[in-house]
Amino acid sequence: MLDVRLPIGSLFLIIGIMLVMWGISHPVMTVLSSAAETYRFNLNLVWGTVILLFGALMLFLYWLENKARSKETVNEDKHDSKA
Amino acid sequence: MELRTTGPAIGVIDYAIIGIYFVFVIGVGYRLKRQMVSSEDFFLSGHRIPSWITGLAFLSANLGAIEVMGMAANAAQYGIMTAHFYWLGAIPAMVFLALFMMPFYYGSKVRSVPEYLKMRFNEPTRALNAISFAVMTVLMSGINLYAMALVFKLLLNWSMDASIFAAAAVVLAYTIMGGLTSSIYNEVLQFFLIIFGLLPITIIGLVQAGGWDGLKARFTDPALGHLWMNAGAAANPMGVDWIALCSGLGFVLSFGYWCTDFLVIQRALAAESLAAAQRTPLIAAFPKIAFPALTVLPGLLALVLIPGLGSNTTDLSYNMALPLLLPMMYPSGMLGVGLTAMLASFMSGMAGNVTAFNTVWTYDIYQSYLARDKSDKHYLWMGRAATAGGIVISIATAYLVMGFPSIMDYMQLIFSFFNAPLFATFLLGMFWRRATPWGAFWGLVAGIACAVGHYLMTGHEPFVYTSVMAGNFWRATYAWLACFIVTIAVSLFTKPKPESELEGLVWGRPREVAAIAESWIKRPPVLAAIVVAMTIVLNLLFW
Repeated sequence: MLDVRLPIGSLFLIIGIMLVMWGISHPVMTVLSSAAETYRFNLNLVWGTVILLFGALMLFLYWLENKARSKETVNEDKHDSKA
Repeated sequence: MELRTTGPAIGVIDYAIIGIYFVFVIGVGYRLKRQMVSSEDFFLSGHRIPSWITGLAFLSANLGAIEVMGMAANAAQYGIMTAHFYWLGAIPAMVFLALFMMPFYYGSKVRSVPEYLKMRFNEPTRALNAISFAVMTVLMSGINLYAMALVFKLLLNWSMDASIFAAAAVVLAYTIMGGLTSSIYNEVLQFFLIIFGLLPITIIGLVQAGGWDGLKARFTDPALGHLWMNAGAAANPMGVDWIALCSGLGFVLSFGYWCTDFLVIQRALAAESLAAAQRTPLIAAFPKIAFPALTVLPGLLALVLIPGLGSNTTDLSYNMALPLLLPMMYPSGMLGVGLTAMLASFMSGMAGNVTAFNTVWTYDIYQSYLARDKSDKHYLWMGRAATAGGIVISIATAYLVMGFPSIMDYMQLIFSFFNAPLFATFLLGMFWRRATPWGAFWGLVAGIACAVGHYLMTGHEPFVYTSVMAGNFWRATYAWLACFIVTIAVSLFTKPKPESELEGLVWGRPREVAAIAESWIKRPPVLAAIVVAMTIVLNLLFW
């Protein structure tokens, strides 16, 4: 069975990279002014990094499990293709 | 308060992100296609999915248009009392399902909810439930298509017809290839997209408003910020007193939905063991507790940030509360992620309905009454055909929903017709051995008839309510009561099933299940206790 972390990890990694690159090449500042303080940040860059890290984490978990169970997976794949 | 994001309207990057998502969704379906060998694989994922995945799918199958747009819309209209849908309704119901009902569902090895009714009661009860469920799922699934088309029309000026057909085509592609597994995987994908796509709205909005207290201070009606303080009488924003809240929403509607709706139960049935099936709703409950932060809070923010929200034009209707916040807060780039999250939630809401529909159609209607004893291959083929048929009907119902003023009213109406009485049938069926097959059948008929009758009478004395929502809650309560009373009355005069046929189906006659030694934290009662404690604390915090 396909490990769901593979598609999740790759999708978020790709979206994260796209956002970060877009944030750098087309910087747009979000300005938040509450009563106390004013914040300025590049939302695409900041949140793109968060998304990128999440994607990388999922892929890392996928890789860890795959490595630990590499033998089992090979057998399962064989079984799959037979079926 | 001033909020400035100088982002342009939708740009090339946003379309690129939406495009990548489509590629992934279809790719997952394609990758799973070769694993769909038997009908069991297609409809129940071959009982092989770990509980953390079924848990997230359980949660996100219902995270369609209803939750994402409907809850934000409700919050903008009724205030934080909308969180009762979570902290009074969903969570207790999910805990009840896990601890008390799942052993019967999973343990009896049924493939669908109607099949349980057949084993516990009789064929007519199953047929009635299967048909009403099939009707309900296709009526629901159209909501997602309609809501999606509406959002993309207002935000991006896409043609409604084109969005409806494009989204339906993508859902068709991945459900027909990968069946329930494909639907479940995309639900998990969508779960994370919703979190990453919508969380910044909550964070930015709360910072801007000066936290919860700052936001509360800006409400024109302070009652919008309290869960229970004004629930003594119906004089609160929701127009519902605590009796209607607890009976209609807390008990009948929520338990009816979470404990009997096959759309959600099906996700738990795909789990790999009984303990995993029991953990499914509990694992889902943890994020569910926090979900008001993503759905209710943005609605409250929209109320403060969007002047004129709630006026009668489509562009500023409460339904648009959340979608309107996206371009206000997100620059191009994040806008694409936010739009993809909404798109994903609509598509998976629809896919959830379609996969539940094709199972009930194939197993409970087609195989039971129309074509018995065909090969498994034939039923797998029928499952795929039903998927396509279900999607075509969904497109038709999408146009039907357009005639209704509010998405949420349409939905709660349908739930009060079908789910509310059904919960009485299940409660009696699982916990009262004396409940008879004909008792269940006539009880269900009475419950549905009562809901329809009440709907037709609403607005005439004595069925006049301060809000549409209040009418829904009372209708659900009456329908439940009608089913409950008629089932008991008829049962007392008809013959019950022999005890030997009830094994594994009724409380007190469980099938012997070998206990699996698991670490204490994975035990369902422990998880349930933690969930309940957290929910009580939240009810007190937002009193």
